[in-house]
Amino acid sequence: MNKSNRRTGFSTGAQVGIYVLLTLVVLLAILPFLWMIMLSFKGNSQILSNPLSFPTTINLENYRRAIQLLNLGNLYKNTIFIVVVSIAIELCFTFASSFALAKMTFRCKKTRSALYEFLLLGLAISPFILLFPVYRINTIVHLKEQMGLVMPYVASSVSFNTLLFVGYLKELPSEIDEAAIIDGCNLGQLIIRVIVPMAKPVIATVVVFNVLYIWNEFPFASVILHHTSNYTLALGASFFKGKYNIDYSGMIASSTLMIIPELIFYGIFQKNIVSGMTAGAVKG
Amino acid sequence: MKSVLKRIVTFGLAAAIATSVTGCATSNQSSSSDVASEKKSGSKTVITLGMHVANVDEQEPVTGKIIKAFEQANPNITVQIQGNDKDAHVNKMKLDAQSGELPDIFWMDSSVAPQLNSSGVLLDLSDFLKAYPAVNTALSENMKAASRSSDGKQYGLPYQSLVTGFWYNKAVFKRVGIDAPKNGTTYDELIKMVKALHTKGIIPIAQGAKDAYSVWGFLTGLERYGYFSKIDSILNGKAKFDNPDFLKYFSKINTLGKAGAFPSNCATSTYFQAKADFTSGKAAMFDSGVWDAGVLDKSIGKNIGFWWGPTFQDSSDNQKVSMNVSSAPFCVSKAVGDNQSKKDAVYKFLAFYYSKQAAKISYEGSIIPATNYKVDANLESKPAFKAVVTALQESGWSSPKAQPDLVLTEAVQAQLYDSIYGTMLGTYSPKEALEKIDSVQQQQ
Amino acid sequence: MHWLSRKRNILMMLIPTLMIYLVYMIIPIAIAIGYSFTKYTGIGKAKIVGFNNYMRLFRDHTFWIALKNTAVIFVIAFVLLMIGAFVVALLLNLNLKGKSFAQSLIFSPAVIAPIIVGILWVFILDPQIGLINAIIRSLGFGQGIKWIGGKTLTPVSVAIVYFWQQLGYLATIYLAGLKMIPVEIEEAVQIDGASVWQKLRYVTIPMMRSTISTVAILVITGTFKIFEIVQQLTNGGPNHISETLITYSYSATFTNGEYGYGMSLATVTFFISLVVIAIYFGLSKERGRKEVS
Repeated sequence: MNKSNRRTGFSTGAQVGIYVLLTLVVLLAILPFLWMIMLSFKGNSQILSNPLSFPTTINLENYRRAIQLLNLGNLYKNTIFIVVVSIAIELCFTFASSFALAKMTFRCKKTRSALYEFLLLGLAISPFILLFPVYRINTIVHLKEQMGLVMPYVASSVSFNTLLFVGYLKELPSEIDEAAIIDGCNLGQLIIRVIVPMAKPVIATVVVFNVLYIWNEFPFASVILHHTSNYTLALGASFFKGKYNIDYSGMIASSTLMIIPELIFYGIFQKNIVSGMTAGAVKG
Repeated sequence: MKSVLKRIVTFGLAAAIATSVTGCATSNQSSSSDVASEKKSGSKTVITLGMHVANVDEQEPVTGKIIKAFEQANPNITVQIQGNDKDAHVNKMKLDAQSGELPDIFWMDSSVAPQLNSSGVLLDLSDFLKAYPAVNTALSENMKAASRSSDGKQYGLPYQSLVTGFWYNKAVFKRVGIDAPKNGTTYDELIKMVKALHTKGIIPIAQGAKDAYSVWGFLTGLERYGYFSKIDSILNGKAKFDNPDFLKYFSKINTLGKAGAFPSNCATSTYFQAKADFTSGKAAMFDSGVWDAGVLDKSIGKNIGFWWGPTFQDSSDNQKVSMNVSSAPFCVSKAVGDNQSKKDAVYKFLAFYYSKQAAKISYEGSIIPATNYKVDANLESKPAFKAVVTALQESGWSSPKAQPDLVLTEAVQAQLYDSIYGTMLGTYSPKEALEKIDSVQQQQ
Repeated sequence: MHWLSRKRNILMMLIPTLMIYLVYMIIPIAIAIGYSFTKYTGIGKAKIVGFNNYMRLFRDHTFWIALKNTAVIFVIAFVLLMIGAFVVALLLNLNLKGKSFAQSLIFSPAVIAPIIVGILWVFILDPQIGLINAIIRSLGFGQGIKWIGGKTLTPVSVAIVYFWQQLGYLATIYLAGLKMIPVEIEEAVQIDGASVWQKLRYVTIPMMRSTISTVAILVITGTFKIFEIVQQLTNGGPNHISETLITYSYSATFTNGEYGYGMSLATVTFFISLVVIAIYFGLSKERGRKEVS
C-alpha cells in the first residue's frame, strides 16, 4: 500500500501543498495544547488578568502544588484499576456479541438488524441522564465504589464498540473463516485463532477510545465514588475548586500531569495499530 | 495512626466489595462494614462528614482546622471527610438520601435541605440544642430559624455566617479623585461614581455572569424594597415579583448596566475572573462576601473597604439593611439517631463546632462563625476581615432573617439570579426579568 | 459459518452484552423517560403529572432557543467534521514523512478531558482576555469580536471547538476504513490511469460507505451530547441565549432541581437525535440507490 503512493503521481508542487496543509492541521491541533502547557507555568492572577503574557520564569510552583495536593500515585492506581477491569470485561462481551451480529447466520435477518440498531441506541444518550437510575440500580445489586463504576462504563461502551466491531468484522472476507471451519475449528478457536488476530487494528482502536473515555469520565465517578481514597484522576480537578474560589493554575498543571500518560499510552498503541494494519495487509 | 485508619478503611471496603461480588450481601451491608472498622479500631468511633469541597484543608481551611482541633480534644473519635465539588456533592447527597447512605453530618444547599427534611432523612437537632444550652444561646434566633421547618423541626444548623456586600478599593477611588462609598451612600451617588470610574477605563463593579449566583450585593438591595414583607404572599400566589417596588429596583439595576457599571466581558466572565479584576486593581468594587477576606488581605491590604450597597430614596422601606445571615446548613442523617455511640460522637462534634474555641479559630481564619461569642482576635493584620467586622458593628443597621434567594426553591432561585444578570446586561427589560421569575414561581 | 450458527451459540455470544446493556442502559433510559411524566425534585416521592412537562416545554421560550442553537452547532460541526476529518485521513494515508508523528499530534486534542478543553478555549475565545481578540487588538483591527457571550456567535464557536476536539479522533476512524480498501483494487485503478479525483469519487468513497456512516453516527450523536464545552465557554448564558438542549436539560435537572422537567427535555433531545440519524440514513440509502442505477 505504501509503495503504491509513489505511483499516485503527485507533482512536486502538490507534494509541497500537501505538506503545508498537514503542517497547518498539526499546528491547529497542538497550539491550544501548547498554550495550556504555557498557562500551567503561570500564577493564578496572571492567568486571569493577563493570560497572554509569557511566563516570566519557568515557575514549577503549580506542579509542586499539584503533586503535593493530589495523591497522584493513588489516583493513577484507582484509574488504571477501573480502566483495566472495565476494558477486559467489555472487550470480551462486546467482541463476542459483535461477532455474532456480523458473522453468524440468523434465521431471521430482521432480528439481526433490529438487535444491531437496539445496541446502538446508547450512543444517543447523554450520560448524566443515567446518573440517578444507575445509582439506584447499583444500590439494588449492591455494587458500589470502584465496582459500581465498572458496570456503567461497560454498558456505556456497548454502543460504540458494537458500531466499530460490527462495521469492521463485516468487511473481513468470510472465505477465511469458512476455510478455518473446514479445517475443524470450533467457534472459540475460530474467534481466538483467526478472527482476533485479523481484528487487531480495530481492537486497538476500541481500546484506545475506551481508555480515554474512562480516564476522563467525570459524571458517574463523581456520584458513585464516596471515599477520597478511591477517587480517579478525573476527580482530581475538583481538588482545586472551592465553593467561592478556584485554583486555575493548579487545575491546569494537574490536568497536564493527567494528560501526559494518556499521550504516551496513545503513542504506544498507535504503533500497534500501524503494525496490526501492515500484518493484515500482508495476509490479505 | 493515619496508616492504621487507611488500612481499616481499605479492609472495610475490600470486605464490602467482596460481599457484594459474591452476591451474599445483605441489606445492612453498609453498617456491617462500619462494624468491621469499629471493631478493628477498638473503642474508636468514626463519624463521616460530607463536604461541598473535595479538599477541605485547602478550600475550607477553617473547617479543616476545627476538625483537627476536635480530633485532638477527642482522641477516640475520628472524622472522616467525604468531599466533592459543590454541584457533585449536592447530587450525591440527593442520591445517598435515597439509598440510605448519607454521611453522618453533611453540608447542604439551603434550598435542598428542606426537601431532604420533608422526605424524612434528617435528624431533628432540637434534642442536641437542649443537651447543649451553651450552643443554643450562642446561635441567635435568626440563625436557627433559617433551618427549622414550620412544624418546629430543627433539620440543620448554620455552617457559618453568610456576610455579603460590596468590597471596594480605596486606592482606585483616590486615583480617580472621587470619594469611596460608605454605608448610606445613595443610588444616585453610586451612579455618579460609576460614570466617573467608567470614563477613566476602570470597571466600576466587578461581576461575572457565568456564575449566575454571584449577585449577593444586589440581593440585599431587594430587601430595601421590602422583600420579606412581600415574599410570603408572593410564594402563596397572592402577589407577584412583578410589583411596582421591585420594578423600581430592577430599573435601577438596568440603569447601572447602561451607565457601564459592569465589565464589558461580564457575560462570559466567571465570578473568579471578576475577583481577579478586582484584586489586580482593574475594578473599583466587587460584589462578594466575607469569604474573600483572606484573599483580599493579601492582594489589596490596607486599601480595602466593605459596604452594604446603595440605599434608595424612592423606597419607603427600611434602607439600613445589612446582610449577616445563616449560610447553608450542616445536616445530620437520621440514621445517626439509631446508633447511640455514633450519636454521642456527632453531638460532641457539633458542640465543638459551635464552641468558643472553634469561633476563635474561625475569626483567626477570617471567617465569621454562626455563633455570637465575644472572641478576642487580633484583626490588625487582617484589614479586609476587619472592614467586615466594622460594617457588622455599624449601629442602626440590621439583617433580615435570611438572604432573599435562600427562601426560594432552586428553580426560582436560578431564575432570580438569571433575571438580575439579564437586567444588568440589558438582555431583559426590568419588567420582562420580573415576569420570568413569576412564571417559574407558578411552575412550583 | 452457517453451521456454527446454532441458536445456542448465538445466544451465548449475545447474552452477556445484552444483559449488561439492558440493566445499565435500557432500564435507566426507561426510568428517566418515566420520570419525564412526573414532577420530581430528585428527593422523596415523584408525582405523576401526565404530559404536563411536555406541554410546558413547547411553551418554553428557552427550549426553542436551545433547539435552534443545537441545530446550528449540529449543522456546522457535521459539515466541517465529515469533510475535514476525511481530508485529514486522506493526508495521513499518503506515504508522507513523519506522518505517524503528525497523526499523534492531530489526535492529541481528543485525549484531553472535555472539561479541560472548555477551560482552554475560554482563554482563546473570551472577548476580553482571550488570545484571538488580543491578537486582533494588537494588529489594530479594532476591539475584536464577541466570539462567545454575544448574541449570535456562541453556537458557532462551540461547533468550532468541537471540530477541533474531534478532528483527529474521527480522522483515525476514517483512516482505519481507508486502510481496509484492498491494495489490489487501488493498484488496479492506478493502472487504469484514473486521476486522483476520479479514484476518490469512484473507488475510495464508495468503498468507505460503512466507515462514513460510522463517522456520521458518531458526529450526529456526539454533537447532540456536547456539554462540557458549552458549560465552560458560557454556561448557557448570558441569560440562556447560548443554551443547548443538553445544557438546558442539565440545568433544569441539577441546578433547578426540576428532575421531571429536565428528563422531559432529555427525552426530547434523545428522540430528536434518533430522528436525525434516521433522516441521515434515509438520505444516504436514497443516494446509494441512485448511484447504483
